[in-house]
Amino acid sequence: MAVAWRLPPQGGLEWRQWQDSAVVYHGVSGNTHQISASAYAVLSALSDGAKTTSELVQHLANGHITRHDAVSTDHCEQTCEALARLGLIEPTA
Amino acid sequence: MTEYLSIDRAQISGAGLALRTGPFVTHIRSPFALVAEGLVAMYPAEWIGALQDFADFHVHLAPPLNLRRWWHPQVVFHFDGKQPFKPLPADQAYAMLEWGLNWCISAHMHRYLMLHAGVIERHGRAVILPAPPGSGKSTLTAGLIQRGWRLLSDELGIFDRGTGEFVALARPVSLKNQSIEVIRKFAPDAIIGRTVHDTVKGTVAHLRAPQDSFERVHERARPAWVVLPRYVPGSKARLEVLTKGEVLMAVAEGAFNYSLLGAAGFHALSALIDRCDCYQFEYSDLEQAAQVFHRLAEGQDV
Repeated sequence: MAVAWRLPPQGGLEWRQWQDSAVVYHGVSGNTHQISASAYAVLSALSDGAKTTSELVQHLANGHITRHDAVSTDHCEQTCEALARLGLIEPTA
Repeated sequence: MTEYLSIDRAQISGAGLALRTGPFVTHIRSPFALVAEGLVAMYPAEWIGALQDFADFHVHLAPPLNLRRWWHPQVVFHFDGKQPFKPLPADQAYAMLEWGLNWCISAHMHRYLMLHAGVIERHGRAVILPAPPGSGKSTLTAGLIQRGWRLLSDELGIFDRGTGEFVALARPVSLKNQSIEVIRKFAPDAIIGRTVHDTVKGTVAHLRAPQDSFERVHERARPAWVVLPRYVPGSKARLEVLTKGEVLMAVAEGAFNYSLLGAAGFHALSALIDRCDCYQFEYSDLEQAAQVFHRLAEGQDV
């Protein structure tokens, strides 16, 4: 069964994107992180609800991210794992 | 013509005096002549007077109550009956007052987002100069206020989260080590107070704000640029664009109460960054630096 990712159910994430960069504030840890465009796109996509990696890839390919490397499954998995290590997203199961 | 104040030593030793700097009133008591001398040198006469009714902070700089005071005179900073710092040599009494005032504001005034930054203004638009110690922030701030920029503040950038404006304090700029001589040469008419050696920050002296900064202390300024200065010996003055994300991270790291404010701090800082062009600035020569900042203020190519 494919892993689905979601934002932490307790909330506490705030983010801001500019043309050149993006940042996220994690209320639980009190940490602020500068994140890549693809990480920002993942967070935005998950704000609509949990998604599997393949659903995220599809979602990003549909216009949220246009760079080719950003929509590969490997890149998306790495991005999700990096976000999970920071506690910014988590697997649903 | 600048009007100088003479302070009644008996009054500041006894009932104390009130110092108004921007929105803050501090009630100061001290028997040290250096404290009175420093206040006279660094602030306009009309900012100092008898305490009327309310003060944000009550501070007392006094000798410690031990025998050591007889052979190594010291000064202790009291705040609301507490001693937040270790005693310092008595010749650092005025510097301790200024450092203590920084602490009073940064530790208590959390309605503001407080950045470790110099803030200067021209044409109603503020440049925020955040930087760690050693970056040349205070030297650059000191130099630019001698070339037409108005000083809002040096160590503390006071950002009103409600209005999105920076508050002016026009307190003296703290110069350290070589920057004291650099500013003396750069602006021979600048008023620099007594030089104090062997402090925790090395040799320090305070630079009085220009008269225009005093007269316009109630004028706030909207942020327009965040510039991270970096003194690089021998470098040509130049601005380099940074991403807003990089700059938010750098400013947050040095802010006094960003973490304490939590999500409100993030919202305030990201709103501030929203409105600003962000740069890193390398410099070694203050005259060149002043030219670059002049072009920035006038909307010319930088």
